[in-house]
Amino acid sequence: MIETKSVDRDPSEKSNTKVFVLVFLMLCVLTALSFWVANSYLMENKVVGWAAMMMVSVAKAMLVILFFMHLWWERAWKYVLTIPALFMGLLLVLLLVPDVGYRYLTYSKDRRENAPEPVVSELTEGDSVIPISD
Amino acid sequence: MNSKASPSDSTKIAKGDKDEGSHTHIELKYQPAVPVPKGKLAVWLFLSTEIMFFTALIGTYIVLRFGAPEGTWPTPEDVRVLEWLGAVNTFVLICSSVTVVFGMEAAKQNHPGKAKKWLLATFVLGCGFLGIKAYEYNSKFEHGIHPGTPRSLLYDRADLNYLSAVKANLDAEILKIEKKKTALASESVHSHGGGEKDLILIRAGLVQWTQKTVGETESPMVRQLVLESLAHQINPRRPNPRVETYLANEAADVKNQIAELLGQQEVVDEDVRQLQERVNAITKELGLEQDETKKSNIEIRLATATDESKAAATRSTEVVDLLAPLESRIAAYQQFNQIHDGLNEHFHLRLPMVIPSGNTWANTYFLMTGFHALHVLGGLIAFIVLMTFRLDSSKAGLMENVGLYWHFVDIVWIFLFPLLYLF
Amino acid sequence: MAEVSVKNSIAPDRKGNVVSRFVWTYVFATDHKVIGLQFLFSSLIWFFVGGFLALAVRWQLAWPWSDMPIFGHLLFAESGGQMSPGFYNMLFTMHATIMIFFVIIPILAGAFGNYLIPLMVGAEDMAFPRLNMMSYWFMWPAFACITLSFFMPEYGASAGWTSYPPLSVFQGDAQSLWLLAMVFVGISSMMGSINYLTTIIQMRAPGMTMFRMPMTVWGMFITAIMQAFALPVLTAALLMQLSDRILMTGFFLPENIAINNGVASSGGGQVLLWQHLFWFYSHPAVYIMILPAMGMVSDIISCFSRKPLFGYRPMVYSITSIAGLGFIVWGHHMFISGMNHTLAMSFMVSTMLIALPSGIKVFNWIGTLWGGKLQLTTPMLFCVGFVSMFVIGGLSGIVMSAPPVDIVIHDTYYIVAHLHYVLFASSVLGVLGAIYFWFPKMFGRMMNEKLGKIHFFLTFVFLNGTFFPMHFLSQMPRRVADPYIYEGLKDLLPLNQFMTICAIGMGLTQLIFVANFFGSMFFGPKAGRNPWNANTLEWTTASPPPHGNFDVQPIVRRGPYEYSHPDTEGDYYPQTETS
Repeated sequence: MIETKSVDRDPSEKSNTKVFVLVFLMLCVLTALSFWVANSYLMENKVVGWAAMMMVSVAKAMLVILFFMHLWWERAWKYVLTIPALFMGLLLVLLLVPDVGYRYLTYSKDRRENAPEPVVSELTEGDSVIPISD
Repeated sequence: MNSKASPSDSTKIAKGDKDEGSHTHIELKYQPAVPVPKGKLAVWLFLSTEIMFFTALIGTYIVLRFGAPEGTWPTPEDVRVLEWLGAVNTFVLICSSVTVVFGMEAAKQNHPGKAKKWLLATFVLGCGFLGIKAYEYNSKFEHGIHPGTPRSLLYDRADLNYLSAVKANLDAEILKIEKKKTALASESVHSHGGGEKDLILIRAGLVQWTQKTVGETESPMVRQLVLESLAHQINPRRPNPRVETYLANEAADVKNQIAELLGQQEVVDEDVRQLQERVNAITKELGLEQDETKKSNIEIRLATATDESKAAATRSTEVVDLLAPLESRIAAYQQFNQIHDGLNEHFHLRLPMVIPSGNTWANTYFLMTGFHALHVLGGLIAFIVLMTFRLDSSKAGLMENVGLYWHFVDIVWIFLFPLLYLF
Repeated sequence: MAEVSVKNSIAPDRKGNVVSRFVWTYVFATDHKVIGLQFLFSSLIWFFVGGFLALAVRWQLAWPWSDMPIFGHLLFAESGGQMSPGFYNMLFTMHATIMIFFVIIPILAGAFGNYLIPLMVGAEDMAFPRLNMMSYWFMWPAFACITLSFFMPEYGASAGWTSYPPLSVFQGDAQSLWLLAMVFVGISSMMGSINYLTTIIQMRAPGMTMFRMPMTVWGMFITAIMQAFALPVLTAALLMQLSDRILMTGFFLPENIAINNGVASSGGGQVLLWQHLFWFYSHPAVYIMILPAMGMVSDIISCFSRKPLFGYRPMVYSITSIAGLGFIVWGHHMFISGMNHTLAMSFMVSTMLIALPSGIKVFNWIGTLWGGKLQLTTPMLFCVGFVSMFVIGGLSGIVMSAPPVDIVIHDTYYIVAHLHYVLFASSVLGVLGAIYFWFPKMFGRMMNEKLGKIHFFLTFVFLNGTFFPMHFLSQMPRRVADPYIYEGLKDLLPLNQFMTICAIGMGLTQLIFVANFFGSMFFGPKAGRNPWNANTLEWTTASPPPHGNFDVQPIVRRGPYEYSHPDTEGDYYPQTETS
């Protein structure tokens, strides 16, 4: 019952194939795009680069969900299932974020001393290097 | 289930599943709320739970990655991640998503042969993905980049822990070579871990020197620099002018000290020579002397001279002892400073490395890619099971369900790729 | 997965010898009723194990370091019958773990969910009978892991049921077994919840619209949704902690921390992360442990008040909003953990908001009782007990939702009082009521009313004797083997002895229930199809229902609570009856 219905709602079979090929090409282009972003001037400000890459990923995921997973052709039940899942996922991640910031702000002395060394050292080029013997 | 898919059944009330060998007296009718087969609905529900599972993993990654001290997260080069390989894997998974869709379309149009071919293509692509993944894992494992402190070679800081780990590792390596040497006494030793000479030089000129400096110096800055320079020489993460300047200054300083010590050595040697002559002279005198009282006098003089001579000899060996580490240090500097890819790479050694936040990186990387790979494996098993059936239109629903799962696996990778390779 | 639903593999009258018949009927059972009973029996067995552990905890609190009867000599022969503080830690850890994961959740979702959902929505079985079978099978590795952990050198996991790192990472192997057991329980619940959701969404009888479903089904439905969203997060966290212990990763361990053998961990992790992920599941789990009971209690109260449930739709909406809010309140377990303070405030507000839907439910239960022709049968008594105890437990919950208060009473016996009023005095009373109510349907015989009433009154008195005084112990820290080492707490000893005596009385009272249960199973008077004159679909079929459940296609014509309906001669109006 269901398959026939969704086929009825589909465009004809041939154009369906066309849609899939088109989606495939777009996915390839988007993958190349995120690869380009990672190596471009956008990464000079990391946040901008990250946001761009995540947007590309979301676009790719949407293409897969809508066309490969047929949600484009499904009826309204798709919202009942996908939106709560999306909401819960975002909720979990977003509510973890404040503790990330908190960890930055109140890095305890003990932790700071035992934390990995930053690559960017406080020493600048002007600092003299202390010789080993007096 | 499949009877439901027949076009004749267009009423709102779908028929219940047939119970073969039935004990049910009647066939119950149902009123489904959602116009999809039960299996498909269950797969979607299962995928919702999977979303939460991977959200927890990605949330962990976000918290640990962005909560790591600023500027410590390893770059792809640090941890041997090849970005383009990740992109290739993305492409492989996208291709497999397309093939599984075409497989389902073929099954829907009742072309079982065609469907099976598409499915086989998907299976091969999935295996290809896992193959590339295995290659990537291997390239990290062979550099000791994996979670687990007692076995992995990752250290967050160049500190005393790190130093003792390097020392232990190096000693074990040298012991191994020596054992081999005794075992194959006649043959020349070709260890993958560089020649024994190099290892001994590393031990004397780098590790023991660092140990000595750390023990002797009062300055925490110097202690830090010498440890850092050891880590830098073993595994340079990027040009580090601070350490390089330090090493150059230190080398100049060591050279000066050697020159000074050589000067001292000349003086001491001269002393030794003169004192020896005096001892010889006195001994001769003692041999010629007959008078007993004078003899005892000379004997006293001889004893003093001998003592002085011995003291001078001790001073001489002391100077030699002082000279030895300095010389091996300078030799190590001259030999290893030109190696830009680090000792580990150059001599194919497996010495502990300092990669700040490297452990956290390894934990999250292997966690996420590992669980993703397990899901890929699950999909491949489902494909094998599916291929045992005749994939006509009656199996289209089943193929769609497996396809949905496979697309989900693809979507997870779509997010993991930028997060793990490009961020 | 679609394949699973095609055939029902079990054949109850399959020929063969006794052993193979037993195996096919009970081990490879795909019938939802058999699986429901399997869950029921295993949960009841674990209920007694968990109860014993609780009594051992109470023994230590009342007569610290004294010789425990029987077990003292058995386990601690060398120390003269005294338990060790580590053993005490094991006791409360395993008590909580068993009661939560092996008793309340499996008995509510596993036993009653399995048994009632298909019957109440008019389905012949679950959507995927074989998946259902797997869901019970996955309980057994969990049972095995927990049982095995009792024989480990430390007598069992002892890091608390919350298993906070870094403590939990320092524990012995019993902790790894504990984590594995929780993973298996999670897989089992996961399979169950997908099955329930599919059954409820797709397999309702004609005419059974969503708003004609009994509250029990609504409770199970919302619970299944909560499990589906919350459990995977716990599973992920458990697996990460397992890898912290076994693979020496450092997801939950900060830098510079030494593990057992002195090796520094890889570090870089966050202990708070575990608490977030753990409570993201375990707070919704609190509602998973009460929503189905709320649903069953609504049905029972309406039936024995012979009145429609007061405000059916508000009940449904409040159950839904409790579930929705339940997902954004987990931080109230972490107020003193060093969590972000702004976040704590938002958790406080959302926690207080939960009082609203909970209040709606309580008022609606009272509204249902109001003016009804009350029949004070045993199940009804248990349900009235549920409502009154839930009020106490709910109110103390609001008190501690404010961080300033919580900072003072965190980890004291006030919290213990609260959680036992919600989990024991509410959920378990609801479960007992449900057992008394559906026992005739499950076994075709009635339970003894007199024994049931004695059971109820003694349980009710003893549970209040045990748990109510805990409200006064808000200065006594929990999870401490001997609180009386503190000078200020020495006066509390007599009160604790009173509570322990009540607890022992409560434990003995359950023996009446055991006797009643097994006695009635074999000697109880035969029950007809509908001994309680209830409306819902399960009462239209035989007791116990045959394989396939219904001999007539159920067609639902009205809601489940049409009691004392003016259009009908009897005082009840079954959902299927033609008008």
